Amino acid sequence: MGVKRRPVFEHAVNPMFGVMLELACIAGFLGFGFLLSILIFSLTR
Amino acid sequence: MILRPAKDDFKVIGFYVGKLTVALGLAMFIPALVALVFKEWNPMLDFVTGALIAIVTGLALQIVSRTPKDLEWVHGLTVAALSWLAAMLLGAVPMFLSGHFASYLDASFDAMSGFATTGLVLIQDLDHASHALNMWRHLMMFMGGQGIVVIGLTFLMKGTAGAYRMYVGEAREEKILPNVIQTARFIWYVSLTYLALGTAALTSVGILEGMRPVRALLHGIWIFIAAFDTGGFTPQSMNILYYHSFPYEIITTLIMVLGTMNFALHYALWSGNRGEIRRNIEVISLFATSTAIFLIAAFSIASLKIYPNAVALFRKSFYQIISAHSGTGYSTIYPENFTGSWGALAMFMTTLAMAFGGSVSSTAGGIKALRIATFFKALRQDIKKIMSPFSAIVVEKFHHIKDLVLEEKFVRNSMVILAAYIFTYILGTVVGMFFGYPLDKALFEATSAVANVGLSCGITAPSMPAAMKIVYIALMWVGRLEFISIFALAGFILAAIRGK
Amino acid sequence: MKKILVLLILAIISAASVSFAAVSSTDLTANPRNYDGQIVTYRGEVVGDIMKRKEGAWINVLDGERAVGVWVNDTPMISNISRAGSYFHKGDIVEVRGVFNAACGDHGGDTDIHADSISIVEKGRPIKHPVDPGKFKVIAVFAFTALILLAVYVRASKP
Repeated sequence: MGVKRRPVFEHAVNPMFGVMLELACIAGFLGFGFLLSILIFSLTR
Repeated sequence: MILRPAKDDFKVIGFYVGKLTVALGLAMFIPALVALVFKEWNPMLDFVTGALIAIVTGLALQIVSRTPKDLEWVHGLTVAALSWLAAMLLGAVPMFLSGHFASYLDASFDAMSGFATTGLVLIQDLDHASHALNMWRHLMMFMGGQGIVVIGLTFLMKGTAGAYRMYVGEAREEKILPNVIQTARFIWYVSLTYLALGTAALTSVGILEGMRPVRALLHGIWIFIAAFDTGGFTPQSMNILYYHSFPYEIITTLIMVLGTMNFALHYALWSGNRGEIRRNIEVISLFATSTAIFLIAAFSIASLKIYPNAVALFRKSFYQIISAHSGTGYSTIYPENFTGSWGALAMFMTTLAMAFGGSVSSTAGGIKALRIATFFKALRQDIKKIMSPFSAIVVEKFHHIKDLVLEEKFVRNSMVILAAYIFTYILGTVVGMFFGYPLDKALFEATSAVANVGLSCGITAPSMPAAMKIVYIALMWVGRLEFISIFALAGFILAAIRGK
Repeated sequence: MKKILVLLILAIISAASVSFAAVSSTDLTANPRNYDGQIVTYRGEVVGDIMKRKEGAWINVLDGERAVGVWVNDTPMISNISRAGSYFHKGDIVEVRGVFNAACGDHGGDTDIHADSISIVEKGRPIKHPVDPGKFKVIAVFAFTALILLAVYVRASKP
């Protein structure tokens, strides 16, 4: 009683935030790739 | 003067290889269970057999090698290197028994390919393989990706000092969390979270795209594992082309990129440090190299007018390039298309993407983003030095979780490994050409093996010469362990023979 | 006149038989441009899943080394297919006749065949996997050994 519980990880980890952020960024990268594809395709036509 | 290793040194190594071998054997009960559920009796017996052989080997090793000596650096690295070989030989047992491999060498090739998360295959008649066999193939990638050692850390070890030395032998240098056990725990946390999400997503899409629910689920699990661990095995011979599905391609692309991210980066983002994604040097490096490579490749492909619309151009060129760069090896085109349809420049760009690789401390392979970035930073620093007055001190900084100064020692270590990769790519290419393959194909395939990618331009086939299969196994092994452990093993053997 | 007629008939027969000769999967994947946009006859085993989608369905047809995707616009075409190949079954062998696309514009650049007709050449059947009783003996031996070693290991661990 009274002993402080050791945290699982050094900093608090929020998985929902982490997942949303990561997926959003990667999806953005995919979108970027898609736009580039449209650009490249039209340039070569 | 190199000291000859003592009997105790051999024992320490034997002891820990034995421990990991037992863990490997226990893992084989998972596919055995799958076989039981689906009434695949022969595979069930094969996996039980394999499990027992591994357990017997592991127990025997531990009994014979019992020693109070603790694991030191050279032991840890040697254990990591030898464990991969042991895993390959023992993991191949149930695979060979399945009858899907022309020889034990072929089975060993695929076992090494699995554990090293490469993805090159010699398996035959994959479309008629049992669920148990596919479970094992993909489980090998999961274990190899998470690091056989991380698994060992989690379950079998008590202290942390020895564990850290094995972990580094595994090519994961970053101390993501202060305690190695905590690091392993966090890696599991991220992996299992995404396993749940990714499997759910892929299963749902699978069902929507017309697959039966049980198959959609099995594929969902397997495809997630092989994508997140940037491995590249799939349960069907057509690879991802099998699904003919844009949503499937998008989801696997997301997972591939997640898998190629440094776990330290995952930790930074998950603990709220949003800025890291803009400032992290590996993110910048990966973004720069993949965009540049994609631009050149897509432009070249588009000029050849192979694909009739922009969507097709995107779906095909972007997918293959990301698959190559992340080290996954998923493909939606046939191996023959790289040489046949894509043209030399696009094929070479794919080779470069494979060569560069993903992040350090991730499941990816290749030279890796931090080293590519270090190269450019060091170059920049040298140029600045030349332009500055003689006595000026030029300091180059970069951000990787923390703000860091580019130090000579770090540059040296990075560049030695970078050079080692290039040398090995070339060595593999020479071997390929020695066996009669043209330069572009030999370079592509060798790079795929060393960088543990798994894209093939057609060289990897059961008809490959046996000597070449052995060389490729060595390439995959060396690439996965990033040289240091291999050097340790070689050094250890040398010391045993010639030391005093 | 008769000669010309005979030659004409021979020509028609040979032309008809040429277009009925099935092309192999390796030929299609290695030389896609040779067949792009042409009507081909392709024969192989249906494997994996029969994937019904909104505007049609996909089947993947395996011919030795490679499998090629076949798209049907008209779902009744595949309604006769009883089995897709798996561990337990050899799938139906089908003969597909349709337009080959090296990079299909409708399907994101996929190499595929848009089927005009699909006929079942050979119905699928179960694959027998007889269990070798020798395997039980092998397992028994290794299990026994494992137990002994485990006992030795545990005894040696005790201080």
